[in-house]
Amino acid sequence: MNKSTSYIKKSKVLKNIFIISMLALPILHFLIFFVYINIDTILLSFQRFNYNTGSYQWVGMDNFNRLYRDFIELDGIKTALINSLLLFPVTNFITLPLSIISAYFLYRKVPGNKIFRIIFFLPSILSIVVLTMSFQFMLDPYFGPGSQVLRFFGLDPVGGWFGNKGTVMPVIFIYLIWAGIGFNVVLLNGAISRIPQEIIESARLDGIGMFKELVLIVVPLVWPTITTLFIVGTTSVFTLFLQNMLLANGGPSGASMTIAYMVVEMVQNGNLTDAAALGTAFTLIGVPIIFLIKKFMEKFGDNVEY
Amino acid sequence: MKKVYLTIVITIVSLVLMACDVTGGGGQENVLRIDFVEAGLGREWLVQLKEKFEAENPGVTVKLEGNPNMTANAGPKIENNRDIADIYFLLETNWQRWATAGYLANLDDLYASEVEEGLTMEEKMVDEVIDFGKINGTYYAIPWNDGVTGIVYNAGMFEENNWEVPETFDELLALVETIKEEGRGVKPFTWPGQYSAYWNFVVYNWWAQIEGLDGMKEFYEFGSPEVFKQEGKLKALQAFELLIGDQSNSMNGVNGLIHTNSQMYFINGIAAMIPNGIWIESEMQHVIPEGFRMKMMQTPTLEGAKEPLINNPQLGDFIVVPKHAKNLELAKDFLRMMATDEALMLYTKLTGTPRPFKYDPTQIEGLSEFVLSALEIWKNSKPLYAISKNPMYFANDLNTFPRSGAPYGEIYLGDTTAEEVWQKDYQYVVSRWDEFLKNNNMN
Repeated sequence: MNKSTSYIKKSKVLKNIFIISMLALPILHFLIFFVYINIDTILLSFQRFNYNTGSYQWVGMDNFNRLYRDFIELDGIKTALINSLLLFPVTNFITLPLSIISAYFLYRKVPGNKIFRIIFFLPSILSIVVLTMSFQFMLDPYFGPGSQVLRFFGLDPVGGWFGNKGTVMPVIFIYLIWAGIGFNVVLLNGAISRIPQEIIESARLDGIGMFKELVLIVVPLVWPTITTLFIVGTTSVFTLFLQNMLLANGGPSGASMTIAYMVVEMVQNGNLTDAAALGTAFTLIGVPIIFLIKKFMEKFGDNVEY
Repeated sequence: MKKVYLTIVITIVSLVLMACDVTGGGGQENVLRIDFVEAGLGREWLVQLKEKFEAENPGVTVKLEGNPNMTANAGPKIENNRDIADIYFLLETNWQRWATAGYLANLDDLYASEVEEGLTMEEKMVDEVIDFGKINGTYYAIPWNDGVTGIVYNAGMFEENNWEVPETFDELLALVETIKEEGRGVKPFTWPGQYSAYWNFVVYNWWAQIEGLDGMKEFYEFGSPEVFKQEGKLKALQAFELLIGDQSNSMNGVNGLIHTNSQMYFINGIAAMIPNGIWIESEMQHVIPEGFRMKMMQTPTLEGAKEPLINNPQLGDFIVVPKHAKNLELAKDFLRMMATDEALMLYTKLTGTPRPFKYDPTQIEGLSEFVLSALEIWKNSKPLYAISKNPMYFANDLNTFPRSGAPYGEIYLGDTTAEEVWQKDYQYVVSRWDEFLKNNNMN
């Protein structure tokens, strides 16, 4: 009896050591790169570097007041905010529905599905630098095949597609849709292929058409995946910068800036405290919005299990 | 089973300790580690200087680590004293913050030490840049590259068409019209709209021509908002507006180009001129078509110029030694060696770029026609070093165009005028002057 109790105890201790050792790294990572970094950023947003003393000093709400003043008086933050907010409909109401339709067609193995599979998946496996370069080349003012076709139809904006304030963001949105569909399709395809075949077959025996099958069966059954993609798409409002940076460098004259890109640029210029204030301000706005959307999406559709 | 658990625990503890690197710093004795931005200038210059230094210092090894993003990578390492090199060669960034926060080595003794017989580093340096690396009375940095910037032109095309290199702004305007008439589709200019600050290379020269170097020095001291009312700034922007505000003077789509694309258009003869710097040749060396020839022209003079011959070297790239570098004295020895005539000539020969020291690189044999044309400008012009020691400048409160950055793209698109930019910059600074003073503890 004693021997067996001690064995159970020992095995419990060993099990606990195993669990702790497995969790140690991720917890440490979380504590350093999430908790510490975020607390430090929040504290930094209330400080300013003093070049006379070589240290940070507390300045209360000064950095936030300055941001507010910039927002009211200058165009920079306003443009960045509008561009960032526009990402919400682009990713969620254009890219996501197109991804669902594409994933469904691939699932139904429509003619040419193998070619479409490559077209959709290619952007998700290529580096973003390669992708943006090839997209830029497509719209190069002299050699770009895309520009030449558009010029044939009389579309030739002054300054080029990436150099004109009126065209730069629409072109970036087109890129985001093209490159974003592939990522979504990979996840949606996985979700759709897990739908039990008997459900689909029974519906088809009842004579359901493709449209109804998509809307009434597929979409409700992959709703958790759609919810996840919707939330990920919403976070891009506050995090997307690389595409704008690589395609248009935020230009012309800041016309393709986003909030995240402004933060990155401030950090690159060594202006850490303003960057921290801008980041903190938009985190305070963004986090409740994302939680509300999550709640709304969960209410809107059932959490399906099969 | 016990052994398996033990191995897992030991591995994790080791990983955690490695990540924390409780000892800090980095580097080994007598192994001089140099981290550098490896971009347009390549690495051959540093390889040869390494060999020279190793030959002069038996028992010392120089280890080179280069990458294009070194400036961004170096900051966190220097600030956290983790895995630091002994010397950093970096592109323009806010090193003043590192200096005042105590992360950089004091280089006063290096500046005061002899680099050649009877000549200290300070004396060897071009007079106007001596203060570049100084903050709060102490030297912490050394300027890396000097430069030559301005308008680069297609020399072969100019000769073929008998186009004369303009000496005045009016001649430049006339040349632009001639190119449009006689150039068989060639556009006068290409330039990188995504990095439109390349026009600073020309516009700052015009500004300094009108204000003189003393006027520019006064501007960068940022003593009061009134410096933003300098007439030279307005005249320079108006000259740009006349030249580039006319969209037919640039190639189509120019405002969306990145620098390498615009340079490709230039070397392929689609445009006759490009605002650029002495580095363009080494940056494009692998793609320059055979027979292509280019030269740099002295920036054409504006009417009423006080100083007609100005060069804007775009000083900003720098060299620093971390305070806790393992081989502090070796690092200083290396930098001292780099300031000798022999090393300076070697540097310019291999990079086509001068350094801000007193020597004559035009004497180097084997330099290209382009580099020679640029070095002649470097030698014959007064250098405009746009250096500010005002904390408002370090803190990004003030710069040349403080309201919304370089205005060239906006002027090209016709969204604003030179006068509007000039007025709005002034009004912006006036309205925020007290805030800037307060932010920087200057009130």
